[in-house]
Amino acid sequence: MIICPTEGLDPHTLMVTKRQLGLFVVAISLVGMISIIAVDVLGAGEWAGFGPLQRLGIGLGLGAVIVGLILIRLGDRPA
Amino acid sequence: MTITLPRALKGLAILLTVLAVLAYVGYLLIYVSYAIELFRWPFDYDQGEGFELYDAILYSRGEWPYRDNASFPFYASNYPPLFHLLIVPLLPIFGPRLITGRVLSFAATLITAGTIGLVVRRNLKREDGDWMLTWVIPGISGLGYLASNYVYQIGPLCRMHMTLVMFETLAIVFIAEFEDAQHGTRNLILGLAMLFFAGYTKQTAVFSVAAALCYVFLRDIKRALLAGGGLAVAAGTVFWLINIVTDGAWWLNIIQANVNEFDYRQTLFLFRQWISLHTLFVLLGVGLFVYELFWDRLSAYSLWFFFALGVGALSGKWGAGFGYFTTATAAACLASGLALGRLRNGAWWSKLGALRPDIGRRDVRALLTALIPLLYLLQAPRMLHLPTSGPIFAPLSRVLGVDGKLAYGEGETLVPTHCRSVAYHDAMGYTQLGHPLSPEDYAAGERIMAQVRATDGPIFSEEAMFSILADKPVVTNPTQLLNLYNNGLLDTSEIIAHINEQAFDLVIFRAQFYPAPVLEAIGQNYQPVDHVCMNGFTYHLLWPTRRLESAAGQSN
Repeated sequence: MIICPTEGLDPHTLMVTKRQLGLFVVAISLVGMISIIAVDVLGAGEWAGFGPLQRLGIGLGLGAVIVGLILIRLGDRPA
Repeated sequence: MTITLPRALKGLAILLTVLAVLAYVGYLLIYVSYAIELFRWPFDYDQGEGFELYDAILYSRGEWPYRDNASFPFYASNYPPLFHLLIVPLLPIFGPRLITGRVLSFAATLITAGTIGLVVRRNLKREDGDWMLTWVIPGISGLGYLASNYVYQIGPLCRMHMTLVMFETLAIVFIAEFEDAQHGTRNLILGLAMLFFAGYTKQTAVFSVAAALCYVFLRDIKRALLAGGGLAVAAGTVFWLINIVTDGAWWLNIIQANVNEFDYRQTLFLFRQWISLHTLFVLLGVGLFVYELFWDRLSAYSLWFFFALGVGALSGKWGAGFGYFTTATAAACLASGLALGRLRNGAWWSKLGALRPDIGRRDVRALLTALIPLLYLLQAPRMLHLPTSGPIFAPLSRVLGVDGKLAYGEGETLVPTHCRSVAYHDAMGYTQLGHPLSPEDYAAGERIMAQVRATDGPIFSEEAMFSILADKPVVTNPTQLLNLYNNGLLDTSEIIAHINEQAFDLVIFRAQFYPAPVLEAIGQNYQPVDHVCMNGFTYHLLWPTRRLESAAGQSN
């Protein structure tokens, strides 16, 4: 967490930056995608094979990773 | 050189604005007409209405509706109490009738729409009194919510959805102002109180809670942790206390009974339908979220819109439906107004560097004066819904070319699950709600009530209102029994014993949403005596075989 440097904002308020939000989004997405794949690897699901819901989940996860990476590049601006 | 707006375009802008306002005011009138229609209708219009009223009746007697489903009268509620508690003060005025909950729910939709309009107006209002920002965009943002097919259909029902959305909207509005220098803490506390009320109206409020706390967390981590902790303690304490006094029936009926089968195809279908019906509002909501995510700070409203999509994602649950998109619809209408306002005042264009040096803000604003009402006007027919009968709606539906495109179909195209067509068109196609009632429906209701009143003891009815109108106890909440049975949480031995004893003089079925062993027992002990077509559905009336034999003996 940072002490926000942005002009016009309370310098003593702890807030979240775009970079921190991006890191969180990337981390959550990766955990989600690994869990989706792990369901098949560990045989925990009800059905065998990679289903349409899993494909949808992986697609959304990849999209979220891209969003997260862009946010990381936006640096210390407040989220 | 700057571009100047031709005088003709100004005239066109005024014409388009008048037409757009007329279209959305027209939807408001259709909504009010439907609400008045339902206020008069004494029977269940949607299957769960009577049960929600019965919960309120139980509260008015000082009883909990969270009970043991396995023993007589095999009834329990699967919703939190607040909506039903709000009905209680209306019971002495209207009596134990559905109009209590319908009026409450209808009022909640009007409050939500008004709040959306006021928030948009407050955020866009300019000192120069720009009428587009001050009146048109806020007005249509609020009216757009009431024009939604989903809000229209559910709004005047005795169901808790719209009261939930009202509390959610008020919560987000207060939380959005938690940094206010003068009233920040007050706003935060009020917002948390509204979130508490929303959660105790319906469980799906959890997404709005997440949105609100996420917004506070992004801006002030310490206050977010305090606020989240306070809300968790308050909500958790009440939850725990209710569970203690209901001997665990609260947990069973509110949480465990709501873990149902999920069909992702239903979710995808409803997402496509929701986007198709509310295209402009959704696109603008997405636009506001993306803009704030990358170019600005995330607001409470765009975060709410994003999290509300999570409620929609749950719509594939058995028993769920398009009602799960009403929160997202409110959020989309609010966010769309803010998005159009930012487009209009030129802030977005400047920030994105999209303006050529020779085109000024004034020119963009002038062009948008025509474009914004045009967009609203293009959106209006996407949500088209209206009755196709009556002195006003029959000719109007003919002019619009939808008089033959009825919700249930008609003649050879009549949907097989329905016994009669209804005089109603909706752009969403097939839907069981939204249509007006006919004199035949009232007559059918009285025909069923005559059968109910001819019995001495309790009846076994899939809809609660037949029992309530005859001053009989409500026996069974079918979908709740089915949910519990499917989760292995219902012992059906006592209910089947009652059926085998033929303890009920009358059974009334509509959708037959009971556990299979219950339906089998009824099949072995009861026989159909009448089939009544009401509200487009066939109601099956069954008598116990002993009653049939007794009636046959008397006639011999």
